[in-house]
Amino acid sequence: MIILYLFTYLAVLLFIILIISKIVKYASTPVHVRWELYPVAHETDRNKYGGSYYEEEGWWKKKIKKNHVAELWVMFEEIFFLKGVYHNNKKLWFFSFPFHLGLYLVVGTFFLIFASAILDITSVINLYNTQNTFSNILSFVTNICGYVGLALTFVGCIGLIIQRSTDEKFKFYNAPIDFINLFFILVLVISVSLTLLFSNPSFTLSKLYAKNLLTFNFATIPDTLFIIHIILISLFLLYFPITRMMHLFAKYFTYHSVRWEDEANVKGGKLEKRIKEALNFGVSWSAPHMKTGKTWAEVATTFPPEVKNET
Amino acid sequence: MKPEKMKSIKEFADRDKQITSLNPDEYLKLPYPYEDWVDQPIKDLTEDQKNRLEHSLDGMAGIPITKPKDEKEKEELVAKFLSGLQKLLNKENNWILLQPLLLSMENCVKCQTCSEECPIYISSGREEIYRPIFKGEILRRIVNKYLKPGGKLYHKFTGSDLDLSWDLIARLAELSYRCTLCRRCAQACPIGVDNGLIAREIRKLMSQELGIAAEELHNSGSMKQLKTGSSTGTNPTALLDIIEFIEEDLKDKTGMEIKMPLDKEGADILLIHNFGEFLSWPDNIMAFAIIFEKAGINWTMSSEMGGYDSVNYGLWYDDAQLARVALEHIRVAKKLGVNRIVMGECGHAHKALMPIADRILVDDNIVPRESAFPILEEIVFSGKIKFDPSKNDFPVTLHDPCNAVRAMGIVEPQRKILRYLCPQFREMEPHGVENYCCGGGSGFAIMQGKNFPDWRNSVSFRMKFKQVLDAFQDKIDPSVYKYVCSPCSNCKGTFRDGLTYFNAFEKCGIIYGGLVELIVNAMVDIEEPFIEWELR
Repeated sequence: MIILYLFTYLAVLLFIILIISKIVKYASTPVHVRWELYPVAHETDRNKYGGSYYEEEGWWKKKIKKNHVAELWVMFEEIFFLKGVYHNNKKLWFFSFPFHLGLYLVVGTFFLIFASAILDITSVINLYNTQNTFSNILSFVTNICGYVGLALTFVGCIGLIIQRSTDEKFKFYNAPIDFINLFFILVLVISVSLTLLFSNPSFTLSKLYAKNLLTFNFATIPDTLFIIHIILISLFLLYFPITRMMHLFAKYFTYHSVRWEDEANVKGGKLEKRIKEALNFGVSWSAPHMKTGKTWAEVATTFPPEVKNET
Repeated sequence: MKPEKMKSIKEFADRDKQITSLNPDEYLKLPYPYEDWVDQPIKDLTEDQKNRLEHSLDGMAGIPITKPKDEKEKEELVAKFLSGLQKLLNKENNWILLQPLLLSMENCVKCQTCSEECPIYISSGREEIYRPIFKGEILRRIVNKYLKPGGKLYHKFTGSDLDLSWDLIARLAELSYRCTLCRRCAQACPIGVDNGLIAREIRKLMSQELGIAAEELHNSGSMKQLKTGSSTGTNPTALLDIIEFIEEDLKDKTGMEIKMPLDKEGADILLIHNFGEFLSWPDNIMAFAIIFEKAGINWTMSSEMGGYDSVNYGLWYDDAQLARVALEHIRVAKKLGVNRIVMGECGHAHKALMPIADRILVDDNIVPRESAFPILEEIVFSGKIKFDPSKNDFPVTLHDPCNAVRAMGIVEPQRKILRYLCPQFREMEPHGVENYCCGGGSGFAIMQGKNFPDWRNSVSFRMKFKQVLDAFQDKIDPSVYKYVCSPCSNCKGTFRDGLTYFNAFEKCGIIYGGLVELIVNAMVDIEEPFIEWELR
């Protein structure tokens, strides 16, 4: 049994490390040229039609205001309602929306299970005392969140698999991995549903396992189905960070660091410092006009030899 | 005969014949009076061209690419491509766009939301290779197979089983020039993946490593601009002759004697036009001069190399050329000691020198750069010039240049002017930041080689032409003259060729022009109509 616990610890640890390393990979890239797309959510008032501070004469003499609340609101609509997909691809949205919402609820359930375990460890509640009102409310919320989440994920997942396998525009681009991602999630939904049906009502075993993990108590779990489920979840945690499902985290960067990144470069500012660093990177592009071996600053300030010959 | 449809992406690498050819019967249908319009098939290349040039993508030689002499040269080019691909994903060589590129390469879930946003894909009759994700998917699969760890089984799982060959690289290079970089696809992507960016970065790899770029953008474009001062080859001496001619023409046309200010040190504004205006649309140069002089603006133009052509084709294919040209503009502005550079009516020049160059300029090179549109808005509503909007009482619609609007958010100033000065102004649908590209973006407007213009006029321009027809449906009769306001030189070039191809003036009375021409046409002081109703 200890192997199961150790495997879970390892999976969680690697999951965290891989996710952090991916985030660090994106976050540590050098400054890049502006590549924004309008509407930019934080543009005060102008965000409604996609305007920018460039619409003002003498914009560079004025303080540029940003509406961060509007930014949060757009992110909220995007993350929880997939507004962009609804607006541009309704056929996909009908399955993608329940799928994503279901996953959010399942992740929420996961946190509620661990919250219950922590509250039990700290004696705020007792997992086995059905007389405690707070405990009952927490259990009720966990159940609702879990059952609804699983149902929505199941429906969305089946719909997306059908769409991906029948629609010509998906079929042409499909690779086995596109189905593996969805099937893996489907198998997880089925495995947890089976445990709920046969041995894990109201996530009692899940809470117990969470408590054991938190207290390093490697007690035997007397249920094969649940053990299989834990192995599957652990495998999924290892698999997730190497797949395109990481778009969950990448989306933060595509919006905040690219689509909405409109910071103006001012003399003496932090941004200028980062640009200077980048301009000192070496260039090894080998086309004749590129000047291999120079820095970007040198490449940009010298003309290619062909130009010099004629001037 | 149209080649057989590909059954899988792998065929794009494996097929030894042309991948596809377009069938005009499948093109996007146009509204009245073009329901029965018959497009001519895109001209075949001559036998000589076919022997010399790569054309196995769709029968066109847009860039064009000379065929390698032998297998050895092919192998060298394949090796160079792989070396360039590594540089594209390396921070030293590609800090300029590394983060957006990595995000787009690693996170596409192939949901196809972008497909319906692409005017070229739709206009072509949904040709598979023009689908926005197609080129990105090819590049992604090459990266996964050749640059990332994993054995055969892993590559099979991820679909990364394309065999790299010169044919594949040549097709990919051409394919990167079947996208106008309008970025409607990126705007629609729920994750923020940018297939336009991927097309641009493929072009960059080809240019910066293999020395392959569209002739009109590189040798006859940015290189010529660095050599002579303008991508048109016009040197400072010739510029002075052209300006003199424009001043005389302005006097004949309006009776006004305006001396264009040149090289005025300490002026508030250095106005830089796309040089295409001087040669093809001098009315635009005149109109700016009239407005600025009447409004009492302290402005100048430059006659020094680097200061009179705002064109910066590097934006579309090459970072080094982009930076060199931008720095030339800045050098001239600093020398004149102006307060700010103002971009005339040219979308890509706006984007190149304002937001993009913003991350290239440091220290005293950070010279303020502004768009002409807010300045024109300020002037029009300032009361300094008297207007009579009834002089513009004809149907007008507005084309939004992608680079100034979707990529920079300059949406309202030009609209406010049109709503005030043009009683019959109507919007196209969609418009503003959701506009469709004119079809000439990313260099297509100036790419005139081989059979490429056939494709641009009939396919790439098609969605924009449909929008124009839809906007004017209530007044479509050719006896009612109509004006497409297109405040961008490259877009105007596309309209000129596209409207001519569709015979739109004779069939519908449609012409195109800039924003300043409409402003001057409505001026009380200008007695004769400034706008001439002919397609030119």
